[in-house]
Amino acid sequence: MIRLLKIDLAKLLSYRTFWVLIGIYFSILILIPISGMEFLKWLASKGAQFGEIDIMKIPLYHFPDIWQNLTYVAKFITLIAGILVVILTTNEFSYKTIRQNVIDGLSRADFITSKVLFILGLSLVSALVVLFIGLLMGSIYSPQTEMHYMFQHIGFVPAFFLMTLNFLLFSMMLALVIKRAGLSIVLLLVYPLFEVIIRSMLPDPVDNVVNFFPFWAITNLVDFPFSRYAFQEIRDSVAIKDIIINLVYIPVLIGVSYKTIAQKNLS
Amino acid sequence: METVLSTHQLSKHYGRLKAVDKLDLTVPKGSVFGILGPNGSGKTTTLGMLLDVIQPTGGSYNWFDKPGSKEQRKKIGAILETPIFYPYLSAVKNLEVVALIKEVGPQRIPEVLKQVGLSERQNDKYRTYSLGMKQRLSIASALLCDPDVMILDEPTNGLDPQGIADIRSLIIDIARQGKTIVLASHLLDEVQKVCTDFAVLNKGSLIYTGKVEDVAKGESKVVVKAEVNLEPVLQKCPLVVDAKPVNNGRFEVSMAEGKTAIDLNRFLFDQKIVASHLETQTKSLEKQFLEILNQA
Ligand SMILES: Nc1ncnc2c1ncn2[C@@H]1O[C@H](COP(=O)(O)OP(=O)(O)OP(=O)(O)O)[C@@H](O)[C@H]1O
Ligand SMILES: [Mg+2]
Repeated sequence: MIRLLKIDLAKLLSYRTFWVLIGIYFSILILIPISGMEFLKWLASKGAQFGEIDIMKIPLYHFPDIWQNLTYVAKFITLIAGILVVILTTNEFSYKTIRQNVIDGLSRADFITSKVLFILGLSLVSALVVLFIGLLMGSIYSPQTEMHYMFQHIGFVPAFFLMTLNFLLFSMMLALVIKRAGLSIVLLLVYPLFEVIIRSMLPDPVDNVVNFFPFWAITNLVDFPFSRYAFQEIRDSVAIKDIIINLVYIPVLIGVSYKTIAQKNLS
Repeated sequence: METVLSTHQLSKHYGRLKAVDKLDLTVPKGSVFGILGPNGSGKTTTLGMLLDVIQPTGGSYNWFDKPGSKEQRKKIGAILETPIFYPYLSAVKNLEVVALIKEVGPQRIPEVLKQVGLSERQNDKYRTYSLGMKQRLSIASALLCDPDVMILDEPTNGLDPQGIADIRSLIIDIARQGKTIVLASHLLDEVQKVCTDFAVLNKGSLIYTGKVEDVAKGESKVVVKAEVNLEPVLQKCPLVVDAKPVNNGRFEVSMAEGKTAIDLNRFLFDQKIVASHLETQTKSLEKQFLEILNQA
């Protein structure tokens, strides 16, 4: 296992595009939450109002709200990591290096495993970064820093990990099916629309099947949190149902990925 | 004799096109096995199947009497068609990837790069290499695991004369260490120079297999010239199957089975004729190859 991860890393560590994209991804992942408070301050200084509420009083960065707010924002940034995964995967086809990897002694399953391990690592690091930013920003801005408040909704962090993992696995699968970088990235960007359109075309309650579609299932893990500040009801926890759907998706996405190259000619 | 590789009715069809058809090959241990055939005859497809990148439509193959596996491929050094590497990595970094895949340490990397004469440019990105340098790197990569078996698909493609000579002596060197080499090539004199065995493919079918040393056997041809007209003498000579005049008074003589230039010389001398030119023509693989193809 470690060897397979090492193989994938050996391909990447001297690859400029990798460092550029990974740099952009983590910079945005870190900068947006960190600068959020400054942005609000700036808005307030300009006299902006959020309905009746004083902007500075919105507990965006308070424990335990911060976990859902943070992971919700972070899930959009995952798209950059998705594009990175697409490029790294389609490279193996455009350079034909997957063929050489197999000739040299990697099985097709090993190849997929090495990519999955990289994705697992990237998801883990992303979740840890989000955890760290949450603890940091929360400690700075939250009036309550007792353990109880701090970790009340911490479940959103593992949910974010699961979300990132599945989104990146989905990106890899798409890249393996399409095999071309440009088209795969375009599809990755427009695919969510496709699920939205299907949902809108199906009658109630049949349209709920879309809940089981990959994009919907993945993004459903963390619900839109900000309407709570306009005194609306939100779901402020991770639904067990969504976790189960996403756990089922892990082997499905890996399985489909493997199928695209199993018993196929590599030329 | 130990067998390194055997194929049984190995086939690859693309729709109606039979790229490889019911191929039975046996490669003995320690041999340098040449696979010959015109363009599109199925050489690369065959090697691709043996390396698991092309799925056979039928038949099977064994390496060391076992069905092919990734563990075996780790111990095989192979180049298939064009060199393939990560363009943004240097030679050393590319070989580090190969070493990880093959589960060998990186210690041999400087050595194999030196063997192919690439040490000076080893830290440059692969993308910046010339065709010949790329080919050299793929040979270095095939040597990396100190393989018992090498599969080389046109290994001298794109190399300069010095490179070709280097690679040939490298192949002969490796073969001397008792290793087995499977070599697909168009260059017939290359095969004749380095191979012990050869097979000829045409349109996916095996049409000939044999030993390279046997090519020179069989009926031999002698070119002879004398100050007198040899035609009548040769015509009634019992040693001669056929005599054709070639240029400036020379005759190309097909000798009877087992007879050589020595016998012809002795015969002429007995007839009081002294040859001014006498030359045995060793049959070239090229000739044999063309004959085999024409018969097919
Ligand atoms: N992916 C493919 N789809 C369809 N036909 C193919 C494919 N790959 C190879 N072929 C066909 O299979 C036949 C054998 O090709 P192959 O590459 O094995 O020939 P070769 O002996 O290596 O030729 P060369 O000497 O030119 O390298 C050719 O007719 C080729 O067109
Ligand atoms: Mg070929």
